[in-house]
Amino acid sequence: MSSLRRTDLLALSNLRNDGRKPNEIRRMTVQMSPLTNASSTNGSALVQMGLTSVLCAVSGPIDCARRSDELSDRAVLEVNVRTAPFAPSSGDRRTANPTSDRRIIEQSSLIKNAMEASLMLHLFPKTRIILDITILADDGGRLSAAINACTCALVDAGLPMKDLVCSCSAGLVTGTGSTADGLEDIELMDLNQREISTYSNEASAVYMPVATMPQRGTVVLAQCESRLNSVDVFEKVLTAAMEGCQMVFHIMEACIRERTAKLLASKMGNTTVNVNFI
Amino acid sequence: MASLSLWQPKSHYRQTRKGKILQSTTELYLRDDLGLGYTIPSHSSAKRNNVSVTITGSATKISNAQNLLELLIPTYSKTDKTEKTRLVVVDTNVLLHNLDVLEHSSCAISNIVIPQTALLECRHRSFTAYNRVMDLLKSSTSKDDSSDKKRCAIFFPDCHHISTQIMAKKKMTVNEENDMRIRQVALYYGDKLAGSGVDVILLTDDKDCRKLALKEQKDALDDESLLYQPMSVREHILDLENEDHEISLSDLVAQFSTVVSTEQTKKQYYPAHLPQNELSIGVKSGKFFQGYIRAERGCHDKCYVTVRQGEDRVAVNIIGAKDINRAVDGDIVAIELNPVSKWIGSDNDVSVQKKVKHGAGIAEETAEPSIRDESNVMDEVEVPAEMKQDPEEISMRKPTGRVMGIIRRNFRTNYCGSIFTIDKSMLEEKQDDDISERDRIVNEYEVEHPDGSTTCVFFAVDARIPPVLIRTTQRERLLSKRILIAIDSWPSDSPYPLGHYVKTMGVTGVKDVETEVLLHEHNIPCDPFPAKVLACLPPEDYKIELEPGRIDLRHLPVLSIDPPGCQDIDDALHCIVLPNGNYQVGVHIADVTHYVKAGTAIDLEAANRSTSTYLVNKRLDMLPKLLTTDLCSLKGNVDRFAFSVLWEVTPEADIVDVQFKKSIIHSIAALTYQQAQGMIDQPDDETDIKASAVKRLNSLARILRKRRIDTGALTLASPEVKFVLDSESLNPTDVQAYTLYEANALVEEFMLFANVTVGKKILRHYPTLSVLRRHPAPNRSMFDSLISKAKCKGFSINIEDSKHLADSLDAAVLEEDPYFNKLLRILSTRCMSPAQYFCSGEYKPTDWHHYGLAAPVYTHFTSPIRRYADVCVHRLLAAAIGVEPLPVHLSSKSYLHDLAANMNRRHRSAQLAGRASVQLHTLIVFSGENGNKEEDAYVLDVDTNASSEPSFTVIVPRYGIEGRVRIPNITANDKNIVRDAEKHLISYKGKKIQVFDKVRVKIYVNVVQETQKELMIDLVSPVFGEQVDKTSCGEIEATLEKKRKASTKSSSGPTSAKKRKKNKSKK
Repeated sequence: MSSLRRTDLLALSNLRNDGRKPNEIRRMTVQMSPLTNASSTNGSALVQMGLTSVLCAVSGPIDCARRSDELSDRAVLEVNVRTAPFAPSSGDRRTANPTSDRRIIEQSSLIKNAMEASLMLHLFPKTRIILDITILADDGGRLSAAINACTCALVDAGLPMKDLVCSCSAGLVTGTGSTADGLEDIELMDLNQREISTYSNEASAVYMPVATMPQRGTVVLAQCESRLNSVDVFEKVLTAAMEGCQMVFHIMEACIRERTAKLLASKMGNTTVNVNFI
Repeated sequence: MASLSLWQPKSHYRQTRKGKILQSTTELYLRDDLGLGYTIPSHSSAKRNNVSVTITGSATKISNAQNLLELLIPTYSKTDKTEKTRLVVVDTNVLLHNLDVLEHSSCAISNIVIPQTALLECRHRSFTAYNRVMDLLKSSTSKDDSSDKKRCAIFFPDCHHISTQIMAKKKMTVNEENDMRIRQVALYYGDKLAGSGVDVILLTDDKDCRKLALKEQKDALDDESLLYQPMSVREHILDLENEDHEISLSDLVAQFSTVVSTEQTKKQYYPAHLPQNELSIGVKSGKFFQGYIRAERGCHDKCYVTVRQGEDRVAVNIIGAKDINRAVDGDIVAIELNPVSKWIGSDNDVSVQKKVKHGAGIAEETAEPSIRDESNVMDEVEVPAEMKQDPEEISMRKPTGRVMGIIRRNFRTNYCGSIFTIDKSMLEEKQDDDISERDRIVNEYEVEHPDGSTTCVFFAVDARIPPVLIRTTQRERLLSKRILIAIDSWPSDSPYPLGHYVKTMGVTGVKDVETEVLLHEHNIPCDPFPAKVLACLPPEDYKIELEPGRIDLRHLPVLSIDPPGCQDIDDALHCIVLPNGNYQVGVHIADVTHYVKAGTAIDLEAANRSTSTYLVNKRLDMLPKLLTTDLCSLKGNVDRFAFSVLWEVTPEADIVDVQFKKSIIHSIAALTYQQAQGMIDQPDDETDIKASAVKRLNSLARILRKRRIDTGALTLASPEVKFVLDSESLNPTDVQAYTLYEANALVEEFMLFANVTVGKKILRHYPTLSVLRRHPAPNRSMFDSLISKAKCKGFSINIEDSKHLADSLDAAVLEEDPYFNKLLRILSTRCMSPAQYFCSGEYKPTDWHHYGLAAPVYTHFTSPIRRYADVCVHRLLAAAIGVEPLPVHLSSKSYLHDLAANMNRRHRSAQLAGRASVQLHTLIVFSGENGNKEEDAYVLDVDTNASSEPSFTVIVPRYGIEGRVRIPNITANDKNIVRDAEKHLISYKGKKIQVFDKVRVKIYVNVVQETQKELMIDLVSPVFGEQVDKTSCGEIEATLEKKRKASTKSSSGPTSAKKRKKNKSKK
């Protein structure tokens, strides 16, 4: 059926609609400490993956608001996700009130789980750590961008972590037949909103955000709402996503090193720290 | 990431359906690693089943000029005796309109660059053209390929290429910007290939673009030499033809402007179309209405557009070439309603009538009663109160309108038909009035050009298409041939659309050519199965053996009952007596899904074809032959896989239990209907397993049928005939009535039973994903004419619901004329809207109803070999009983919607093609020795329209022919004619013709031109008027026929019942 042919550009030139190859992630920039002057935050980061940009601010460890919330053996991690009112409307935003959106609530709990895997919470018993995530723009993959932003912000806050948690999405589309069997699956990395919404109409398409701890090789999150035909498909997509996470890791690592080098230099009194305002 | 050298967010503004304006931003990555574009190389290799498969590889990058030079294919020029290599960069308009040139010119234009910009725009404008370009891109061959057809097609992703980015100037239109991008691509190639001896040519029909191309190059380079040459398609083709006289491509070049002789220049035939933005504003504001324009059957200057107004759909008539304003059947147009005074049925009606005669098209003197495609379309509407000038006026009128502009053209890829010519000397002798419309057009518009080409007038087989002017250099060769053409444009200074020749199909009138024509006209896929599909077949040494998950039913006495000579047997039955006295009845259906796995190439191909098409002399299968006639066909005395429905029923046909099983069966006999009937009729004999099974089945079938009829199922009828074919030439020699046995009804009954049972089962498991078949209740207004006709004979037809209709049809029996009841049933069949496939999630449960069968749920399960719907239902059922998981596709509603739409369309065109084939064969039978027959016929309809020629429609039951008969010897305005619309009666001096009358007619073939034949029906008795002198009578008739010949297609719609299958499929 002709209406299903949406991957012609891929078949013709191995390019996606925005000009990327299937195994390339979007342009990613990390800005450390954009909120330095805000007194209540201990660390912050702004991560942009393509046109998706997410700001994360870390407060804590601080005292819990109520005694009953405290845990005796470790710190409590709180994750609040909200969407900026000016964020371009995304395809899957369904409710008028973004703070009570079930998807956002679900995503905050996913982010919490992912970060808890790496954060050494047991070092700060009876306290809480708050991650305030603001989605400034959403062009697909906001869960991944949010996790990456959290990692960078936590690093910025100087909280001990086992590894950097890196996240990237991957998907699988059914190609249009450059082989004899007619159908060939192509894995795509870091899908943008257009790709997600186009392919989500196809029954065989898969979309899966994954978060890993790349240096340890552990997967801390893999969320998939699409229907998977076989284990093979899952493995393919997971492998692609993990490669993406590796790329994300390199970018994040470079940014963190650069920032640390600058901080170090300023301590030595050589230069002043560049304070970035948004 | 070095390759992503530039990142550009781009913003677009778009308006949502609610009118809100949204800004959407997308990224665009520009790259420097794209080289000189991509090709998709293909190479052949041997595959399974000894089929050679051409494999299209994946896209390969051409990284530098050296690589490109290796790929390019040189052309040999005969005049210079040298080899030249050309690289052609095409723009959007060339892709849209001159694809025929590109496709056919593999030896001349062998190296094509298709820029992404052009491809995207092409996709936006026409999906068919886009698909053809994609095929072109995928059929690129390598230089060393031995085949004659060499082509190097290169795709250039210019939108992402850093070197071809342009700075769009402000106030540039999208088109100008795209043209600029394409020029940039040509420049890039020209630059890269400078000095390599390759001519880079930019092919564009846009004059401004060519001018700009020259100017830009001059500005950029000081030097006089050009990096690339801008050319129009015609120029380029002429260049090529000069070099090599064997190339004749100029016929294929699209025409955009009229080439008229000087005295006719610049005559505007049509009002200009409004620009697109005004149209969309008009549509939004409610001033204009948007819709598909449809031509009435058999004429192109009476069209209608179905307009939605709230819940109602109203057909707006658009009459006359001026009002239709260059729209062609299938276009999406914007129309404006005419003032009420111009609606049909008002006082100004005459003016509308006059307009028809003034129109430039072939004036149809008779209009066949139109059966509108869509059901539930109101023909007449009440005039809105505020528009009524006179409250006394009758308020029911047919609205008319006129086309203000065309929103989207729907020029089909190709139209089939022939060129006509006339003998000019003969014309001069004739009076003006005697010249037929067609001759007049040919006389007026056939023009010879000084360069040896001729503009000819082409008439499509499909009369809904206006005549087309095509320019050709081979007029003599094309006369009396069936040819394919494409329509290119219709400028307002041209009376008819302009087109170009594509292909010759063969000599007109030859059976095989005409069969091909009718397949093409109904858009039936008739290509052989591609190698990809054949590769999915099981290997030749495939053995059918019991496998896990199937139950072994080979011990059961299964038998099949089909028409004689049936090869694709998809159903078989059995019936045994269980120890408890109940019967076990089994319906076994060929297990097609065992061989056709979901998502494979063979499955996609079958989904596209959707149905097998049965013609009189040919069968076009949905699946390859190996499956259709062998592996799936439940032939006698071999093991076959089946999908079985097993019931336990009491002898009174009450269901005790039902089971669905994948099974393996062994049919003990493949019976014909006649044989089965013999078994039903013979006396009881318990020893004969087959006969006793058939008898038991028959007794059950009777009970089931009675039950069905009691709930209100309709028994409908159609004139059914079959052809006696010559065994060798397959030429039809005679037509016979088709005999229906009780055995036909037996099989049909069990198939219905199985379908209903399966439909309920899959619906229980997949309430929103089931593929079902519904038959909407007919529109009441359709029955108006039938009711009034039946009244003439003193019967009343109650159309309250199907039960009442069935009862009143049963009651309408005339003692003296047994055929009367069948006539009524034939007529009521025509009032029905067609049944359709649908996905259960799309309609309310109340709309799932099947009217004809009076069943709340119905589906198709029993013929998976020849219908794709059944294949889907098999998969659903297999998933419902837990044998196999549901394929992912079938769980997507949007896919199911597309699938159902495709199945409905294919089903309809298969039916129409079958009917057209019957018509063609009828014509062949009558043009043989069997011509000039006198037969009994029944009057179906009487034309009581005051101004029309006195005529009526008859059906000839013996041959299943239906046609219009003119009452001889009376002219339209004779004062003695009495027309009575109420009683469906025309009388003239004591003689009368009324509906359902039995008349005697003569059937013969009228040869219009050497190659064009028409079936005609003439009245023999009763005799009207005074017997005139024999010779003069003949003359009158001859001239009258001339007048009619353009319009009357005498034999319309005889339906064959070549097979029982057809009968079933109607349900």
